This record gives sequence, structure tokens and C-alpha cells, in this order.
Amino acid sequence: MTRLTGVMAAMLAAVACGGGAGTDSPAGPRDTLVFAASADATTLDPHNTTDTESDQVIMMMYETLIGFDRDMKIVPRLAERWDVAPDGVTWTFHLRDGIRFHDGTPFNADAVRRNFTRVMDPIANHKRLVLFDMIDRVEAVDDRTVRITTKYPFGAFEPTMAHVSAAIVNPTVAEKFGRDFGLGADRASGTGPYRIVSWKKDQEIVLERNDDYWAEKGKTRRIVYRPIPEAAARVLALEAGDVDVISRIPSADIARLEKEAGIVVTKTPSVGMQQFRFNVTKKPYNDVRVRQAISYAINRRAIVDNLVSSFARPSTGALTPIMRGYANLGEIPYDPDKARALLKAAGYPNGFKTRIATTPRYPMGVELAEALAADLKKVGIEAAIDVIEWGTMVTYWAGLPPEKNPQEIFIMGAGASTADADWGLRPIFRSAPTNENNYGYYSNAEFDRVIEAAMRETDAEKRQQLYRRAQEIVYLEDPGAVWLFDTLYVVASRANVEGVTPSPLGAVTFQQATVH
Amino acid sequence: MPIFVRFVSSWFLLAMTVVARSLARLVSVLFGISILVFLIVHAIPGDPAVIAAGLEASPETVARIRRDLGLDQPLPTQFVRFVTRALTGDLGTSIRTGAPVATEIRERLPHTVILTLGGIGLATLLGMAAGIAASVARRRWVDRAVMALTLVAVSTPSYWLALMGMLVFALQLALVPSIGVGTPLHYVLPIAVLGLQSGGQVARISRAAMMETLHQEYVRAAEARGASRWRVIARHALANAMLPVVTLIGLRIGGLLAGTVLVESVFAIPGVGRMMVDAVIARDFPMVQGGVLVVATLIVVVNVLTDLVGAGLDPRVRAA
Repeated sequence: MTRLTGVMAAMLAAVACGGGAGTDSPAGPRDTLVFAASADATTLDPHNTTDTESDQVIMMMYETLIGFDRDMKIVPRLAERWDVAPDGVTWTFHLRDGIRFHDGTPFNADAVRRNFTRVMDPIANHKRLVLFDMIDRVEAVDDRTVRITTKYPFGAFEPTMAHVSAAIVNPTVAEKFGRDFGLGADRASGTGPYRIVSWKKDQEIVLERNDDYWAEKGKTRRIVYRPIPEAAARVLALEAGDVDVISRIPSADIARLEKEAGIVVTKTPSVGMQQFRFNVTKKPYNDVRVRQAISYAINRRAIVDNLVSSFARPSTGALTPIMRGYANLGEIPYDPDKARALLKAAGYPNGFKTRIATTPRYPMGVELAEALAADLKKVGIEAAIDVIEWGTMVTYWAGLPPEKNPQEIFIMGAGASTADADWGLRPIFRSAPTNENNYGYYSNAEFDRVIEAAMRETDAEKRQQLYRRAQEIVYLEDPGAVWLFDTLYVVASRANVEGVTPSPLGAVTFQQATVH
Repeated sequence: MPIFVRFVSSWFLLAMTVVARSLARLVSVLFGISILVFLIVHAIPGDPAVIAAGLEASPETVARIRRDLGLDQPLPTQFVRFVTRALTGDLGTSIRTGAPVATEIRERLPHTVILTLGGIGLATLLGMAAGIAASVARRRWVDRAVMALTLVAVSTPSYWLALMGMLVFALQLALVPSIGVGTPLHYVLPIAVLGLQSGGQVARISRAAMMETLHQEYVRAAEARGASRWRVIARHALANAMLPVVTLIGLRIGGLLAGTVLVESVFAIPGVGRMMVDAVIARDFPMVQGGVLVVATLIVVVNVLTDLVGAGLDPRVRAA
């Protein structure tokens, strides 16, 4: 169906020129904004979800103690100020006064304590439990003060606390519904600028402005989330004016929408990256020279320009520029001669045969694998492509020991949801016996040492130096992957919509959006 | 009056036999289907716990989810639990959404039923009208045009038809909304897409059946007796040509229920078909099993109804 979508998009592009007569009312701002999501939310429980479609609704309804601004800087939210003791493990948060949950329950230190008890409860087993692994205990010092003690000095504590899964839910409602919290309009309650009024599964979620909100109130009275699973239909619905904002736009449609009158396309640098990783336990990828050779054999510029120019920029490091800890190591040059020399040195003067696993779940996933194979062929490597459905793909990445994993080179999208180097590098490249997170079994002793030291470093300067070193290792010296490009988060809206907030985390929110 | 009573009672007897036979069939079919679906679902590579946990989760989380879902139990145990619960109307809990499967299906079924009934209604109306017109106008331009159009209708992929319909009627002409549900207007395009395709088949079968009966001696005899042309067509030919058409319509309802998968996705209609696609992608076993069970039940019930109507139409039964 995704393939068909591409073909359709091209055909529609030919037919749709000159179309798109929107039916927007002329008078005053409208009281409703309609966003076409690509899927329905699965839950509105911030502690128990890992999918973006849920998170972007959650971000409207709940708030964290500290948050990210548009440039991913840490800013105060429910806490007006916070500090860390010289021991590096004792964090104190001073909460704002006079904030209430949507049902009128006051927000206070005890609510915060009960929230962390909830998200860290090993029995309840919420999906975001692992993110808060470093927390030792959470105490309510007084009504307005919370003390969080970590097990060790943790360099990424602030971005973790700004992560959407650290959002404070109404503990009374959460405790009342237990596991069912977040599964319906009547079982979700936060402090955010919007509250939920109805949720018809796969049809629409309706949020309404919280008129008692403590900070700047929402501009539009109602925000409606209408899931449209088919990408081509999502684009058509926007052009027809049936929805005001869409995301997850087929790459072939982006350029066309940019030229269309009445539609505005925004592209936000994001935490998302596309790479092809090596299974370093498989011959010949256990040889660093082979991995370097492949890295030089790929013409990233050409791939980006020809396939994904509408939503991608060539990689310049192992993280994206928007992320905390990013180091600009430059684009890796296209140098097939150097690649051949490295292959020769490694004992493969005539190349070898290999397999590339990919999934159409990633935008242009199959086309990227084909481009990779074409470049590899020029240095003598014959790559066969395995196109794998997503549900099957993730089983290869779910904690298999190397001997049970047949993949050699495989596609991987990365995007640390804390926008920080720790979560962006540590789980996926630190040595591990299985590939539960380190999908390619990457293992480098120096990298492990540096990444461990960086995790416990709270001094920003020193931390940056350590992450720079970590990226030099994994990106250049002992490459764990072929980094192709950083993705831009693309949102398209009708020209009469203002104040939409796309986040580098690949989500879009509407706290200050208006529809004229 | 007595003739009427005799007809009704004989039909009633036959109907009861059909219903009894069908109920027995329903039970065995459903049991077979539940085994089949259960096995197929578990044979697909992919682990629902892994998918549900998300890529950033720890293996402990995955293991706990697997235990919570009962996926760590042996397959026969899981199957017995699925069947015993299903018998009490409990289809289990969706892995993806955490809500009861029965609730999820109940919320979505009305949309799918509206689409299917609307589609089959449109297909019957259009198809029969076109088929009859073609058969009466045999080999003249009306016939040729109908045959050509139905060929196009039958062979157009519904995905393409849906997007083209949207492009023309929602975007260019702005006559109907492009996607979603809410007003009756929202259903016009999706029903048209579903109905046109089946309508093509109904038209072709109606035409063939009409052609055949129009040749029969009793029709010629009626014509010879001086009955009007329309009376001959409506009373004599059509009544006898209906049987294959009704059978086809019954079968098409099953096909339409399946066809809603694409149409619901494209038009963003919150129906059972789309729910099942999402469920398969997420390896949401209880949802897939429950969905297939409900849809299979519907199809069997429709087939029983079709048999009943067919029996009522069959002149051999009426004459008994």
C-alpha cells in the first residue's frame, strides 16, 4: 500500500495542479482547529506510551516540572526553579503555586511524588520505566518542594525530567483507574492548557481549552485530532480544506505542497537520523577497515539530493545538530578509491557478497537500500536486499544474541526522545551481550569508557568534550553505522493557520495556534 | 387465501430446516475459523510484546508485558483460554489499546455495517438496472456501453477509485467532504466506491440471467398471449432471473466486508477493517482473533439469509 501511495502521489501531482479551492470562512478566527494524525493515540497515559501520535496529544494535556522550548533549551514549567546540590545527585524542585489539575484538584509536591512512584513502579510495568532508572528516591519536602535523589550523578537528568513521560498526571484519577488510566476521555487529567472532552476511537479526539490554565491560555477553543492512516488521503484532505494541519507527508508530495497557494510547509531540524548499521559480529564487519571502506563508498550527497532532499540533510556527526552533546565532525566524503584500498588491505580486493535488510516503514526505506547497494557495487560488494515488514523487523532487534541474528547490514532510524547525547548514544552503541538496544552489537572499549564517564558528568563543558570523543570513535574511527542523513520534521498547514508548534522530537502541538 | 397459506407454511418449514442446518454449520465454521486464525496469527513472525513495549523499552518490560498478556503460556493453553472466554462473549483485551476487544469492535462495527449495506444497496440498484437495461437492449449501444462500463467498474482497484473520487468530488468540485465520518454526506464517496465495483458484477450477472430467461418458452408464451413488454420483463423474466443475482449479492456482502479494509483506511473511517489492519501490524492477537470471529459470524449469517431469500424466490419451492 505504501508503494502504491508513491505512485498515486505522482499521479495526483499531475492532476491536482490548479485545484484546492478551500472553503474557509472569512469572518474572525475559527474556534476549532483540525489536525490529521497518521494514527489514533493508543493511550493518554504519558507514563505508558512510546508512540508519537499519543505523545503529541499528551503534550497538550499534561506538563512536566521542567520542559523544552522550541530550540530544546530547558525552561521552567510546573517548577519555577530548581537546583542541584554539589554532590550532583540531590535535585530540588520548587513548584509553582496555585496550579490545579483539570478536575480542580490542587497540584503539589505530593502529587509529584505519587507520579514518580507510579512511573517507576516495577509491578505496574509502565513502558517508560527504564528512562527513570537513575532515580533513587523522590520526596515531598513540603507542599511546594520536591527532592529527587539519583543513584549517581547523572549528566542527562534535566532532559530526562523534560521528557514527556515525566509529565505529571492527576494522581487521584490515575490511582482510581489504575491500568486503565489514559484509555478514555473520562480517565485522563493533567494541568495542561487543553483538556480532553471526547475520544471516539480511530475517529477523533477533541480537546478543549482549559480556561483555568495557569499560564498563557490557548488561542483556539477546540483542537480536533482526526486520524487519517493513508498518507495520500491526508494530503488530499488538507488540500480540500477538510483538515487544517497534517504531518508525516509522503516525500514526493512535500515539494508540490510547498508550491501550492494556500498551503504552508514548515521543516524543523529534528532529533531524527537515518542510518544503516553493521552487525559487527558478522564477518567481514568485525573488521573495522571493511566498515570504514563502506562508509567511504557511499555517496551521501547524491542519495540525499536524489531521494530525500525534501526532508533530509546529510549527516555531520553521530547525533543531529539540535541535540545536546552534538559535535560537528563534518560530512563523510565520498571516496570510492579509498574504499577499494581499505577493502584490499582487509583482504577483500574483489569485494564480497552481503545482505541489506530494510523496511518500508521508514520513508524511502527500500529506495535507500537500493541506492546503498548500487554504491557498494562500484567497489565490488554485491548486496542483496531483504525488504522486511516492521513487526518482523523489530523482532530482530529485541534482545537476540548474535548467533540468532542473521542480519548483516540493516536500516535503522534513530531519534533520542530526550534530545540528549546520553540517550542518543549510550543504549544503542554501548557493549551489550544481546542487541536489546545495541542492535548491531557494536563494541568498543574506549567508547564504553567515554560514554560511561559522560553519563556521570554534570559539568556541561566536560560533558561536551566526552561526547565529542565518543562520536569521533563511533562515527569516524570505528564506525558503527553508515550515517546517511538527519531528518527534518515536516508539517503542512493551510495558510490561514498560525502559531503551530512543531517540535524537534517529531511531534506537533497547538497551544498557541489560531485559525483565521 | 389457502394458496397463500400453503405457500407461507411450506416456506416456513423450509426456512426452519435452513436455519437449523445453518446454525449447525455456523458453529462448526466458527470453531474451524477460530483454530485457523489462532494458528495463523501465532505463526506470523513478530512478537506483540516487543511491538507494544516500543523500541526504547527494556527487555524486563517486554518480559513483563509478555507475562501480563499470557503469551508465555503454551499455545494450547492460550487457545483453550481464548475459546472458553469467547463463549462467554469475552474476546479478551487489546494489546495495542488496552481496552476490551468486544468494546473496540462494538464501537467500530456500525461504520462498517453502514458501508457494507450502503455498498450492496447501491450495487444492487445500479447493477440490476444496468443489467436489465442491457439485456432488454441486447447488442445495441446501451448493451455495449453497459458491458464496457461494468468491465471498467469490476477491474478498477478500489484504492485508486477512492483517491480519484476524492480528488474529483472532494477537492475539485467540493461536493462532499474528503475524509472522516459525522454526516451522511461523509458516506457518499466511500459507499459509491464500494458499490460501483460490486455493481459491475451484479450488472453482468443480471444481464446474463435475464438473457437466459428471456429466451425461455414461458416468456415467449407470455409474449404470445399478448402480455405487455414490461409485464413480461418484470413478472416473468425478472422473477426467475433473480436467483443467481441474490446468490451473488449474498456472496458480495462477504467481499464488501473485506473490501472495507482499503476504503476505511483511505477515507479515514473508524471501522472494523481498519482496526484489523492496525491490529495485524501491531500483532495484536486478541484483536485480530476477535475481529475475524465477528466478521466470520456476520458472513455466515448473511449466507443463511441469502439461502432463505433464495428459497423464497425459487418457484419450485413456491409451487410445493
